[in-house]
Amino acid sequence: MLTSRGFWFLLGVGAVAFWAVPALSYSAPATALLALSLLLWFLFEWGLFLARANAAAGRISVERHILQGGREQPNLWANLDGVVRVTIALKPGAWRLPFVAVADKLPAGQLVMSGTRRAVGGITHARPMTLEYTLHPVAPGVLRFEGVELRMADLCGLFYRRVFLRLPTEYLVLPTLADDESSRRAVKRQNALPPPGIHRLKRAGGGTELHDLREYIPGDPPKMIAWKASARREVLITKEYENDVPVRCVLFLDASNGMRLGDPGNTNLARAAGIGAAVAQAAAATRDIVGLTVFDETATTVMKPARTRIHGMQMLRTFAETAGRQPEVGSTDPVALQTYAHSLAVEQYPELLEKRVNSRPLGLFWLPLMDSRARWLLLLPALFYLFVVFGGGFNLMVEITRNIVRPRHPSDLFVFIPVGLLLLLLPVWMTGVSWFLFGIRGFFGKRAKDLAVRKQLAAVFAGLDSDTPAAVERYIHDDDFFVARANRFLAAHHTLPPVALYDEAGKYRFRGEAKLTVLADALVRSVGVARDNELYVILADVVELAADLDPLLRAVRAACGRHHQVLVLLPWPDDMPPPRDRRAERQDGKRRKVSIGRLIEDALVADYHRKFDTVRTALVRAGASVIRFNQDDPVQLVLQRMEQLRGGRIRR
Amino acid sequence: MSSAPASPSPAVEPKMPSDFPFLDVVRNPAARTYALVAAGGLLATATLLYLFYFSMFGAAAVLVIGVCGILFRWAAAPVLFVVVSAYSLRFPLGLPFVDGGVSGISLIPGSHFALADLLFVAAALVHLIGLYRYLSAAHAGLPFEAPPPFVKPGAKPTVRPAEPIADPELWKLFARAAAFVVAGQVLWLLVTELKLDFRRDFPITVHDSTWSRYGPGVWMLNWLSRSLLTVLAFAVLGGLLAFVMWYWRLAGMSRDEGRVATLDTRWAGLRRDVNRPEAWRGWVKKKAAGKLPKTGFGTYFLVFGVPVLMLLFAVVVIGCAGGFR
Repeated sequence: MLTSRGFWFLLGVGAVAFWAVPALSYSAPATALLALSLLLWFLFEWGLFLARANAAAGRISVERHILQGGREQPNLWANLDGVVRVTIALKPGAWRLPFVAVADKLPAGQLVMSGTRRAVGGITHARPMTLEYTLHPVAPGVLRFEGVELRMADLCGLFYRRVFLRLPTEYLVLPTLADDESSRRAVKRQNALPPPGIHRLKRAGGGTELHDLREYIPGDPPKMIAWKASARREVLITKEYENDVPVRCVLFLDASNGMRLGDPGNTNLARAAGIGAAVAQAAAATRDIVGLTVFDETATTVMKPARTRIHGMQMLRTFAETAGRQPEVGSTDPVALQTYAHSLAVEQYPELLEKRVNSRPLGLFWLPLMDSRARWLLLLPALFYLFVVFGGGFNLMVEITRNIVRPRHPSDLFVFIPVGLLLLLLPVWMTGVSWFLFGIRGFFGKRAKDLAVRKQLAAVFAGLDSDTPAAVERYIHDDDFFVARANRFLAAHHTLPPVALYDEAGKYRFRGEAKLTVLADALVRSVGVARDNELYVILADVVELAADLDPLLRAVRAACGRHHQVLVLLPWPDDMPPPRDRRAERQDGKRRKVSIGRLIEDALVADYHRKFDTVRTALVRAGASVIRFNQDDPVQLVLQRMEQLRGGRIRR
Repeated sequence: MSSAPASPSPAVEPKMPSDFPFLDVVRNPAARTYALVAAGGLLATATLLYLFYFSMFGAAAVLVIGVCGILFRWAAAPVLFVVVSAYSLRFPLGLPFVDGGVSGISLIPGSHFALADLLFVAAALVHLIGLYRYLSAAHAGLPFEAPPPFVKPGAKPTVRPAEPIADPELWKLFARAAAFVVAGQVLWLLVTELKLDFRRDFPITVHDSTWSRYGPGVWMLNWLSRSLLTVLAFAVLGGLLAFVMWYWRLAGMSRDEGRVATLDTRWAGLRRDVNRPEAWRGWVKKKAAGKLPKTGFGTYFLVFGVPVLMLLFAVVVIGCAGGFR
């Protein structure tokens, strides 16, 4: 509120007034006049600033528009520049704000490509403030704009207020539209290709390619009779044509927590969604049928295979929404979460943390002393002091005073003065002992500060949820309850506290064993309703689950047994060398400088490669094909498989 | 398709207007204008100090401080200007406890609306307002958002943008300076002409005679009345302003603020009732999870050591006292 400049001015002028008005006015009245005039001016500036700030409260409007291709868009497309235009204007009733600084809060992981998201100046009714800058989202997902930070000050810089104009808006970043090259068929295998979107199935059906000849059965349409063959054999022969069935591809997208980890826009899930979207668009361009199943550790979301335009757009939206899902890291440290949540609240909910709406009563500072039952026994010495020592001591002090006033012996003073001081100042000594025990910051140290922060956050959470006062107390005392809400609060604002990837036993915390069962069930369900040999593309991170692959392997075998094809695309960490390179490194024979860090890194890399090899071997043996995200071109590979299905024959 | 197309590198976002080299002051219309206003006020203040208050030391000192404030954007200059001006008025020669021959009782009746005082205070106000606005345009208009430990080294605060200043802004500055000179004089008139006398029914009265106001000794005895009246005036003005603004802000609360404020009030009322079950629930959950804090030496000392010490202490005191009976 009061800047340091304002504080020093008030202190200086106040000191001069304190000196001038009582005494200095006798000899130099101009000093008092100067001090009083300056104090009145300061008071006026304060009132004017408060009036402007109060008049503006709730009367500042923020509008946000996102433009791509020169037009306002409800969604964005990845890898295309999007222009963000923010207008901050004053509504009627607000006074002019002569000096404000505004800054639009960027979505997590985004950088300004051009323009600026900050501005300084004045805002009037006639002259709103406009920010315009360009973003370049590189991956599908969700962009969440929280709002605009506005700092206002008076023209002299004596007063200051910061408000956050919340305008939470989420925009989907849809996957990049596939270009001509990616939607083209990968390999042209024969000249006579069937029409797009279908493939020939060597079963009798209503296609155009001759499949077989058989004897006439009464009821066969006359146009199906093969007259030449009938003439040669002297019996009626009927032609059978091959069946034309659509090529179907079902994508399985892993949206488990392990896939969501990483910088915004640079997660495995975002990459998988990008690949899946490219496959879906390329397949839709050739009128193939594509379906999508999104799964995580608990549930699946199924979009049945279809080829309509609406279905394609819904798939893109699903990919974008899935890529924007925040990881549920499940942090269980209430103090750490409280630190992050409080920082976020200070930044985006400053008005809800002010003491006038969110108090911090003094009781909070002594309550921690009563955290343990044993400390309740402290009441005993307190009562003892009040009723015995204090009461008796008062009587004794009378005696002491009598002896001091009229000492019988000078040595009386050496005894009774210290004794009297100790008795009278006993609470002070106890305070000293407590400081010694609990730290120089006070009786209760960090615990009391944490409790005050916890209470303020609890009131914010309960207020946002329209909850009851009991919820505030529960947030204060129930760590699990608080942790769950704080995690939700942070996730809703796309803020991720540091994630511990490994538990105390060194085990990866985001393995997600349960997702394999969910995936296997989904795959078996798809196989159950499949019509023909289909392509199942699984985009999942299962490398850490080498020992738990059984459910998936069974499902893959079931799919392959029905003549379907299964393609597994595995994400690969950016900082992990590919297996081939590691082998080449080992064979190059060069001596390396060995260090502890290098040894640990080598061990971790070797362990990851070993797991990857195990998973790949198991899946290949079950009949699936396995490739990495960053290996070759997974989209082209999937399209190539579909092309094989289109032109291939089923095995009998 | 697997490898994402190379994304363009982000541009360096234009910086907020901040502290700039001194030579750029002349190119910044806002800073230039207010530098001239502050310089004018400074010159007038120094001239008046020298001509009317016979303080060559004061004139030179405020000139040096003011010029340093303008040239080097010295943030402490305004406060030092006020302090040095006050000192120079009391001790024109610059030596402590050595009057310059201008003090005297005769000055006091003339202190109300004396031309020299009016001009001096007006010049000082113009200089201070101009200097503060100049600092906002050339040094720091807004403080850093982060607390000092978290401000990046070399970071510069935001300043007012370099835009021409509208004429009304300057005229308002001069009008305000004049208005507050008069207001200060009126307030000074009130606190010197009125007297606090708590023996009366209404404790504020008017001085009955000039001699009782300004007579030797009486003036000095009235310092308490003046001080209390000044404090009372500012308390009333400030309190009234704060109350109006507080209510205004209360009336303009947002929905979220109102909800949290209501919740907080209800929580404060119900805390004693709801604290107990929730505290026990939390304690039981912690105990079940084995997360209860361990009892340390401090607790044992507080629970057992302190009572024992107090008991011993009481025994010693009682014993000593008994020994003296």
